[in-house]
Amino acid sequence: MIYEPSTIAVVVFAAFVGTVLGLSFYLGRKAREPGGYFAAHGQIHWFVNGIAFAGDYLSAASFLGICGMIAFAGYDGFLYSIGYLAGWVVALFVVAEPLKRLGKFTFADALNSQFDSRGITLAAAASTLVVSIFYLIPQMVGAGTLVRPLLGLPHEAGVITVGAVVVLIVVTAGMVSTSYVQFIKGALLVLFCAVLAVFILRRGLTTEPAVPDGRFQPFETTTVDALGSDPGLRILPESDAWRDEPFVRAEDVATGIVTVWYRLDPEGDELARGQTLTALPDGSRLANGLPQGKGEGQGDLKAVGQVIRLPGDQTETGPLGPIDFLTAVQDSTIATWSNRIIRGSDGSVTTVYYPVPTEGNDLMVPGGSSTFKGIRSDRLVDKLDFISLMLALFGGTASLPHILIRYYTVKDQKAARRSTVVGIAAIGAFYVLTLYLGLGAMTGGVLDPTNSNMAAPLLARSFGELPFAIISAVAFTTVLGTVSGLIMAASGAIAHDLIENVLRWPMTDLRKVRIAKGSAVVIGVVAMALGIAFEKLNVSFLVGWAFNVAASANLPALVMLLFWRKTTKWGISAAIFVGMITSLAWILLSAQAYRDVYGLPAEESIIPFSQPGLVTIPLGFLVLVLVSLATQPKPKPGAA
Amino acid sequence: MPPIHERPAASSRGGPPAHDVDEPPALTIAYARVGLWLFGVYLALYAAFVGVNAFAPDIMATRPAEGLNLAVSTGLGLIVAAIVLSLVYMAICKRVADRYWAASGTRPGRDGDRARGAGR
Repeated sequence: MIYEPSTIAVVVFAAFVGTVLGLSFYLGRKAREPGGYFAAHGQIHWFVNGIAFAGDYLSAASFLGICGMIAFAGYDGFLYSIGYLAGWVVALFVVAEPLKRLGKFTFADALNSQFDSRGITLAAAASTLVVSIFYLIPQMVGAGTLVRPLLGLPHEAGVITVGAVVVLIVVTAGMVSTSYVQFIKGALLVLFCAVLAVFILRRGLTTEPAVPDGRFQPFETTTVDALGSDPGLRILPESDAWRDEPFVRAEDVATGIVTVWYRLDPEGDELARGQTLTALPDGSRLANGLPQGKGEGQGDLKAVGQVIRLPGDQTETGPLGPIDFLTAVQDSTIATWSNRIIRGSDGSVTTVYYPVPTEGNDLMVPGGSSTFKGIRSDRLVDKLDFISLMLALFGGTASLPHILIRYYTVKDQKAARRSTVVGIAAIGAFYVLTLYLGLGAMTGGVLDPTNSNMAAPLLARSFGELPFAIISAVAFTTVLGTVSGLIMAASGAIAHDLIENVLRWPMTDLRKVRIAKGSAVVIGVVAMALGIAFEKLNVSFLVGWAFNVAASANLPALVMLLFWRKTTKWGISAAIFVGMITSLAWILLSAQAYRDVYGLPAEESIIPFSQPGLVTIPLGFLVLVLVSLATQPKPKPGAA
Repeated sequence: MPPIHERPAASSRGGPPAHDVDEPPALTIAYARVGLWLFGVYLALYAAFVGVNAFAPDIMATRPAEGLNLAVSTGLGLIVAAIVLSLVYMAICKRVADRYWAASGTRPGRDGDRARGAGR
């Protein structure tokens, strides 16, 4: 779909960026030495830090990706919400407080607090860099994907804008300004999602969404006979690539425009109207048979998604309570949209978007999306993929370097605990809201059938231009908050871990901060370059993979250091390297990478399922135990 | 080497320790024990949820008492459980600390935050 850039969105976004940059320069004097730059002097108030946790953690993938996945596939998107929040339980109950006591600036400090081993610092810094960069790519691509429809700028402009703003934030005041940016973003995100959810509940469900005429494709049915008996239409033969596809094409005799209808039942003759987007060999595009555009004689895809039948055959429910809304969805029939790609022999590629009437009961249980369809399969490996992802989400949060560094910005163990509880409450509330936002988008007649990431902003637009502008601006700041946390984590790994503690360059405090700022600029530039290079890559799965790598590399080391007294420095370094390398290798050889990254047939992959966590996390523990046992220090006579 | 909760706070290379005062080891160990118990409770809930979803997804579609189905109610329940357990943890830690300081009778200061050095 083509979007009209919103002036208000640009103004709101510019105002926000202006505010955070002003704040950064104001706070800059507080971050001239390492304690301020890396850890904000440990002086961030626990409540601010708690909301900043939400701002750090809730990335564009959480906000846009989960809402979009729920809007298109129902409950499966919510499984991510559940897993992402569950990880915080590990963070609070197991790692937060010891990590706070043992570390100083980075989580390498905590791992290495008893050993003074360069190997551990090197391993921890390497895994911090790998995880941070893995996580940065989807954020940067997300920024580029957002600016095009929202601000009318090209992809590169979005990536460079976000990169430049974030580098300025980080370079001026390090963790001090990063914390406040994340606090503001976390608060705005949860608050405005709550406002949207209230709007959704007040609107209730309706079978006739109030969308301006011409911009909405309602669920429209007919029969093969009805089409055939219309003198103005000619049914096209099922030739070429259209053979054996579940579609019927009808050409308007007067205009030559072809409409595509989806066979609701392979045997019967009932049809539902679909939409088409055709890429011609010369690079131009046709939307529903017309050149894609907003002008005269041009056409565009229309918004979709609505309730077909409400419980009791009402046409609208009126305002609903939070539980009633969910039960009403369960009892309704909803048009969900899928797509199919058809390659013509003339080199044209047509994507057909078509509605599938789905019972609410089927939407509100797991296994509806392609990601989790393995749940409904009888093969064990398909189920293992799901279990593996849920394990990685559970163990990954407490192993993410940009989250872990936030424990050093509060003054003590008690403040670390309190801020985690605040973080869990804010993040938990947000994830509950995602369910309402996703279902609201699914039923609100607002979805862009080509782009699931736009579900949340488009939902906001159905409540007016201002909510749209605010939610779009919040989506950008979502990228800003998370990217600044990631760049902070990576710059700490370079300056504090690698250069100071591994290479052991003698440094004054001033020089150390300068090096950290220089590293932040370099990582920012690398992130921008990757964000531009991977524009076309389907990046939604990269976040799940970053969790896998983080959990495989860091979790065994963190947990065993805390709970097993025979852990040695060799065990820790080996576990980090083995966990990181095996999980990366598994990912790069998986069927998903074959298909989505290299464009090779997925069947050629030798890896049984895509998510490595189920294998590589236990492997990390095993390596740690074996290496530690093999490298036990010889007991000194007389030592306790 | 003593378990980590009994070891002194960090002083990593390149500077003084980040925090010169810390809670007494007895308290830290008590907190860790509470944390592990609650972690075990949540892990059991989460594992049950993932297990039922993976191996008996049909159960998730059932709707006890005509309301929400199990998939939605247990999913929301897990999110609420995380929030509730984290509040429970904070409350228990506070009680543990209060008892410790009452027993040792050495807690100076108004809010206890300054008292940590005194317990050693």
